[in-house]
Amino acid sequence: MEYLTAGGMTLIEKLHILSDAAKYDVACTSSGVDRKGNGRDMGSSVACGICHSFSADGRCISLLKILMTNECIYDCKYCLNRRSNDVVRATFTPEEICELTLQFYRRNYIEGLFLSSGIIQSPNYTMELLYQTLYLLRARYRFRGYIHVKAIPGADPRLIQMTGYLADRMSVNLELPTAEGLRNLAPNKHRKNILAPMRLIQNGITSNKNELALYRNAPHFVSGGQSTQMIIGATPENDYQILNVAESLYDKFSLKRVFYSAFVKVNEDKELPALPGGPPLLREHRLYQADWLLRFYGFKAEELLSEERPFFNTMLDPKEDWAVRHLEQFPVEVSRASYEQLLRVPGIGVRSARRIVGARRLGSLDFAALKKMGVVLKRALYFITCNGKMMYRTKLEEDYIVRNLTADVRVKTQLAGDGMSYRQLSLFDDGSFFVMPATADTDKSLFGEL
Amino acid sequence: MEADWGVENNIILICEDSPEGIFTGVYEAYALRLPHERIYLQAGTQTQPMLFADYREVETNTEKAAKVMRTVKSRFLEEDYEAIWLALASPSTEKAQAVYGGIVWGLSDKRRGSILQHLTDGNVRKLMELSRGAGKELHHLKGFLRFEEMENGLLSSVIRPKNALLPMLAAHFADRLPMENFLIYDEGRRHYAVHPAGKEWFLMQGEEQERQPILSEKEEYYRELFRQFCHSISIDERKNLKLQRNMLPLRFRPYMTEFAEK
Repeated sequence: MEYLTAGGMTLIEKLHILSDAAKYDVACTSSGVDRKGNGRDMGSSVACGICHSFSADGRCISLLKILMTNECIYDCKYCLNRRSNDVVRATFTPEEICELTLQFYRRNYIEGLFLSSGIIQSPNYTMELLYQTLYLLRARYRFRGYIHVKAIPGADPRLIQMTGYLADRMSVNLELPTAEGLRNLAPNKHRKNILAPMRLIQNGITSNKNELALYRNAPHFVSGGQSTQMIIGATPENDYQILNVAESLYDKFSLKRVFYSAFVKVNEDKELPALPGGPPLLREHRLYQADWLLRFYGFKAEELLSEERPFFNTMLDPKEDWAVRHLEQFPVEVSRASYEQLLRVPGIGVRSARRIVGARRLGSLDFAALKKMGVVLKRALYFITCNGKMMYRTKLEEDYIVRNLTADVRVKTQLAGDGMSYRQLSLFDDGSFFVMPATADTDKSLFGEL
Repeated sequence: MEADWGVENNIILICEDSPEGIFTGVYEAYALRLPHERIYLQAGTQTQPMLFADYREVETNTEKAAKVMRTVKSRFLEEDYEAIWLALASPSTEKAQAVYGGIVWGLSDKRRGSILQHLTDGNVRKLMELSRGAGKELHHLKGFLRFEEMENGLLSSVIRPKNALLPMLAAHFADRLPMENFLIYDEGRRHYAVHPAGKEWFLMQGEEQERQPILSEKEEYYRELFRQFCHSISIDERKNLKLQRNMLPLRFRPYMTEFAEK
């Protein structure tokens, strides 16, 4: 069975090329968009998102994640599809994308479409193609599923705006954390051009909120908010810089999500770092943990890191790391501490903190009750008291706690020596410290609002 | 039956393992007008008999069940109502007691906000555990369920969940795919959910038909496209099968297009 498409390439070949090219983009359907079916057209959207499958790298497959085309007029050094690379090029037609989306959707393979693109001919031309595709999907096929689309930097603001009315989420990739990194590795892209559409979308969302408050039936503009993504480990920024960038994106551009993507070296280029230990996955993992602390736990970037300590600890997660350096704030009394204080205890997350606050109104809590409620005490026990008592006789000392918290990791990595030292993360992960990221953040993205 | 109920004996009500059966049990428990601590509800057949307990079988009564259901619906928060239904879908024999305990809490004047906050109570804790387990599987299946297109355009799916989730799944997909004819078969329980395009869905019981279903002409083509997609979307440098297994347990895979044998 051969279904040849224009250009003599089968749809299956195109899908292979253009999904392979899109695999480094990160997206999540947990955008908070809740859209019931209307009883007539296909599609709905669930606030917490739905993962439909998981690929061999353990990342979730929820959207048909593809590029419109992998043709590109730019020559970014980190990108497989840069102009100077000799790779097979392919371009989808809008019709083909609609067919794939609709047929995959009705078989429940996917939750919606994630559409990105290389720059073909010009930013405007590319953005127009993206718009056409979305228009076809929404207007002709009346598709009501989730759509995440990239805004192309440098495209006409009106095109971006029109596309925004058809999408649930839009994102502009920041690519690299600092303007300097961008200049070195992506000579055709400029920080200014990336931030301009970001601001445009932000303003669009704000004014749309006002419209919706006035007119309930006004069209929605990017109701799932805006996200962005940066590559970690291709340029020499430290974690402190990256986290500060993320924080200001949340504060100044009201982004819903910042994604971090461990740099995977696909091109040989003298400007790119050698990564003997593979992509810096642990570093990416720590950044996601810290990102959560910024968004849901009320932490500030400068609390977690500083100029003097610009990198995250390999052995401790950012919250543990913060806690052992602020022992004066512990132990926290479970029966009296505020919700905010509980959130700052390592091992207690949003869910546990809520449960504690709810349950303690009805009776006193002891450690057995906490356990039964599903609060994991493994790490928390060093930092909390129940009715004035610690769970075991533990010392409130940095070295002691660190030694206990890292016991598992040290056994795993066979760390020789006194066991007292815990090292900071080097710029590129040291192979012997390599620990696979836990599923904590993916788990949360499953059940949390985002 | 009217023999002497020892004052200190506990009473164990054995109800049918179905939402109606359990709700009837709750009705009968209240009708006994005894302290709630002395009553225990059990779904399904009696297992290990307890000493100093009187066993009574509860006959399922739709009217009584409906009364309890109405009360729960009107007096409880929506999240609690949903939690009760999810707990009822669980295969555990303890669900009847958990639901009963939850309802007692929900109707007591000591309740503040959601019953699920009253986690110091054992029954409520059980209720939460059961409903969370079922809710998690429901969420999984909303994503992991796969339809295949039959010759006549019907979308068909087979699942084997631990919890009885068919009604919730059917409601989800009826909302999402209103104009499709689809059919979901719960292999373990031999229940069908049928959704005719543009109409209300309904449940059916019965064996799967013997005849070999005929797939639509293009079905294999889209399967192949999706398999290709799942393969090429993975980043080799990040390969992590353990993480994949954590996120997508093996028991779901025999029913999923991308993992099934060709």
